[in-house]
Amino acid sequence: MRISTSQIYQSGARSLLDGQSSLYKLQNQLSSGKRFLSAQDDPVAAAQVLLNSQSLAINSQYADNQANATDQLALEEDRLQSIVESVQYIMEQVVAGGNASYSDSQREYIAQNLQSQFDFLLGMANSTDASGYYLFSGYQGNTQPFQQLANGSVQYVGDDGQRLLQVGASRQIAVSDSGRDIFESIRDGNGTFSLAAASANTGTGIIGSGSVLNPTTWTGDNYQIQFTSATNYTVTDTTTSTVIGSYAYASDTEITAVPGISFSIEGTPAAGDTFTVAPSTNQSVFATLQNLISAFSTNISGNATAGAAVRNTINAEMENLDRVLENVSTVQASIGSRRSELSSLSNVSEALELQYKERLSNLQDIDYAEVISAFAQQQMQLEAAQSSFAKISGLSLFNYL
Amino acid sequence: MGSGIYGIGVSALQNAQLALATTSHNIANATTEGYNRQRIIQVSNIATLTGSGYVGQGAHVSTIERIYSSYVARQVYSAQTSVSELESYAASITELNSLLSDEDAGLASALEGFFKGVNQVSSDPSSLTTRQSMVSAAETLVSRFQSLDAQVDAQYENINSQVQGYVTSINSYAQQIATLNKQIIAAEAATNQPPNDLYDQRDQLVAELNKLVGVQTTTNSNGSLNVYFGNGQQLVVGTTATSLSAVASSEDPSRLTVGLVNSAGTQELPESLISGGALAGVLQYRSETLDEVANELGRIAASVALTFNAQHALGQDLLGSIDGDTNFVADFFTVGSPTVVANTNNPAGTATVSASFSDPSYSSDGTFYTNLTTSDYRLDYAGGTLTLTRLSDNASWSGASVAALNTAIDTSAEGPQGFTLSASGAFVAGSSYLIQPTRNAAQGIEVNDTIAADVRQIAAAAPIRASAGTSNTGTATISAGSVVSGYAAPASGSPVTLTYSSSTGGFTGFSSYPVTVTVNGVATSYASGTVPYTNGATLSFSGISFTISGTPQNNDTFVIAKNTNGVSDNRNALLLAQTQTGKTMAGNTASFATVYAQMVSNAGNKGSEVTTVLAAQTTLLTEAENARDSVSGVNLDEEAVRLIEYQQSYQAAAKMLQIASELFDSILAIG
Repeated sequence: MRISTSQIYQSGARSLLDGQSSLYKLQNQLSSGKRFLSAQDDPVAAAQVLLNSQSLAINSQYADNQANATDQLALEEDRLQSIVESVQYIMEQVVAGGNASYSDSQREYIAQNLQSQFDFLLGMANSTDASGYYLFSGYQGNTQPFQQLANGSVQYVGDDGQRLLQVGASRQIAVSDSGRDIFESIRDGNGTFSLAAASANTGTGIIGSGSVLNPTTWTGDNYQIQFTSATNYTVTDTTTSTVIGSYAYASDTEITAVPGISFSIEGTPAAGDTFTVAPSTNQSVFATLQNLISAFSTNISGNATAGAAVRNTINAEMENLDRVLENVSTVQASIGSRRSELSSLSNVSEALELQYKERLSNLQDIDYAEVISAFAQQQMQLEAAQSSFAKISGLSLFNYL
Repeated sequence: MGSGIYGIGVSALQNAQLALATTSHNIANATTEGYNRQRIIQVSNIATLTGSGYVGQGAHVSTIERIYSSYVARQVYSAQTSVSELESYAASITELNSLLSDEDAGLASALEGFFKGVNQVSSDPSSLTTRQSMVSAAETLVSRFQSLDAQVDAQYENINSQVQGYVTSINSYAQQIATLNKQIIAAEAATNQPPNDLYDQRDQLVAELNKLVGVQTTTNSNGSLNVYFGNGQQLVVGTTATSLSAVASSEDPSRLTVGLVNSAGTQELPESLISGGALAGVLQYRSETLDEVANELGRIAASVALTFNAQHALGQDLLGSIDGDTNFVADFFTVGSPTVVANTNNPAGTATVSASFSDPSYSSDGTFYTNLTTSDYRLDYAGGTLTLTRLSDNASWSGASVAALNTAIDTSAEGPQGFTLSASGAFVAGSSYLIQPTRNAAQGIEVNDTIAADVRQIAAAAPIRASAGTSNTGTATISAGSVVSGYAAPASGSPVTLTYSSSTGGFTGFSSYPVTVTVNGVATSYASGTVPYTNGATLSFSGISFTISGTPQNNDTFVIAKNTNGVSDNRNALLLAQTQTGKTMAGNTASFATVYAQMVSNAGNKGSEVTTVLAAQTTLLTEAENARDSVSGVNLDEEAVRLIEYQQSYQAAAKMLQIASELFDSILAIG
């Protein structure tokens, strides 16, 4: 084929430019460590890098939220542990105070002890986080949830709100519990029904704790046990105003006249004394404590009737303290299970992070060995092109004329 | 006899001189762009008849021709015009791709940063610090949208000035070709010999013109060349050149396009007519890639703003304000409206059209999503009917009025398009409007000033809360409750209290009816009275939904109240954070990140396609050029050989004259 002189120069220039542009690209890859710098070098990988980076970012967001949730739950758990210890101490005091040999002043001393525990619990219930927001007020972080009224009773002004955090793609975990759940929504009695003696009782009858025999026959109605004499009583369903029957009284014997449940009365009730059975309702830990404080502050020395009334109160409230402990432990157990879920979620997040990073690296990082060897090869090619061009351009017939 | 030798010797000498001149001309023009080598065509003179037969009379040069193949030249033109087109396309798209791929300048990192901010608010909703950092991240996001859009805008500007520049050059080349035509006609008529170097110059001008716009040529018998572009638009006919002009498009005056200047004025040419050359490259890049990217960026911006706003409107801010309160700011972002451009040729007095973004739709899984597309639309009014055409696929809708058209769109198989039209005034037949729903949204997105100034107005809380009555004896519980658009929250201090009655087995106390009860996906509506209780059923009224489950007892109550003082509530922030991964775009099919990745991938694919085709076309061009140069190019070694050859011819001819002279002297010596 005929070759024109300009073709020799053009093809020489072209091969030099091509070689340099390949070297430039390889050099860019080596200095950045990335396989491609523009989406048009590898559009599919570029899109996957974007999506993977977002997955990585979201995953690390979940990990942050998990750590955050763990911290908040740890704080709450810490508070709940203090509450449990306080309630256990209260129970020891109440058991000790039940000792019949205690004098009024010794009982007054216990009442004062309980009062300080009451204040402690109230403080705990109103505790705040590091930023000064109340822990147990539901959604209302600025509102002090437990407020003491002029009559000494405590009112909950928070709400039922539970704060959730997004800790996984489809998992939100509760990082708070409302004050109502912990301190207020505590079933009294044995959780199904509660027993009480009327305050006007003149005898010394003491009603014990009851138990559920058959949950399906338990109606949930209110009942009244009224002593017509020291040896006889009638049982009435006061909700439906139905008299169930009249029975002979024997101290400390199971009474099963109310359907589905049993309980016993001991001591010597007087005619006209009444005892009630009511379905369990919620009673706050503060109401329970207040009842106990007022029971321990009552002088009973030499007054058997007053003694029986106090005894009845203490029995009932002791049972309520069991419920308090039960309730707080339930919340604690729930926090425990949330924390253990968080720790397994955090393992998942870590594994995912590793996976995303590896995938990103596969998508965009260069294989140094491969690129360096390509670079060396390209360099050799360019050098060959340069040296051959130098030789060819030196050839001319005019050199010999 | 002697004069015969003289005559032959002189003709040989002249021929050798011409040959040497032509060879020197070739050597001198070895590097001249567009030069085709020339050679002499030498023919023998007519012989003289003598008694001894025909005696040769030497030779003469009949013409000097250029070595040129119009077939090969056409191949070079055709390869060159597509290489030029692809080069200008590739230059623009490479710039765009490196912009989109830059991790720091791209959108992905800003979106991630923004949603990180939202997540931080959800983990600490009452903190002003986290709220401030969310607003800062939002400012970063909107400025990223704006800077990306500004770069895209700069490309539009750049293309406008390129079109202007190319058109000027095309006119100049056309004018020069017309002038050369004139010179060639004159030169040929005078001598009937080809003016080779004028041909070369003209061919070179056509080659340059061809780099700007693809042209075809035909040759006239008088040697002049006609030049056409597009599908036969005349650019040069004989000695007359037609002018092109860069004109503002009548459809969208912000973009320059090509117009043909004729006696009637300037006539705008459809861009599809321009093919080949750098001009076609930029025009095609603009309509094919840049419009798509600008619209897609805008679509993401509009979707982020609209869906985030829709969820934000369902919240309650740190000051306790909710939707409907004077101080409540429903929109976290502001995003402007779709762009409507009236055609500059519209008849006077016709209606003014505007468009607004439709409220996002709400999916069954609780995600707000937009139905916007990346296409532009054209609204035409003719024959009493308004027709809206989606320019990407020519899908169209029509209606007698704007309202009828809006309804037709929403109820069509394609479904809503994410914007709503409105018009003021009466349409005049022949009116046309270009609607660009998302073109300028990335430029227009802003963080609401009021929220930026007071971060407490971020609505992180839900507007309502639900709780079970304190004195309930049953074990039923109520869920936290949620709201949908158009909800009516109970007034502060007057909560809705639902009371369960065991005798009727249902609830009373709803503040408004109907109440919808959804059990296992089956919804039943109650217009009044007692609403029966089903364990685990979802109850809704006034846009408020909640679930009651468990066993309620007689007179148990459940309270739905305004979320007064709910400063630690993060329920709406959680929902806001979920817009990051929800299918918020393209009719509930894609998230922001997937759409953005798709856009980057599409632009990348187009770029990779263009550069690959460019490489292939460049090879073709190189081959065609090689074929041309191989025939027409000057080879200096060859010319050196010719120089020696013709030098020797010259010396031989001179020798002939010397011999003739000596012969004559011999005769004279005899005398």
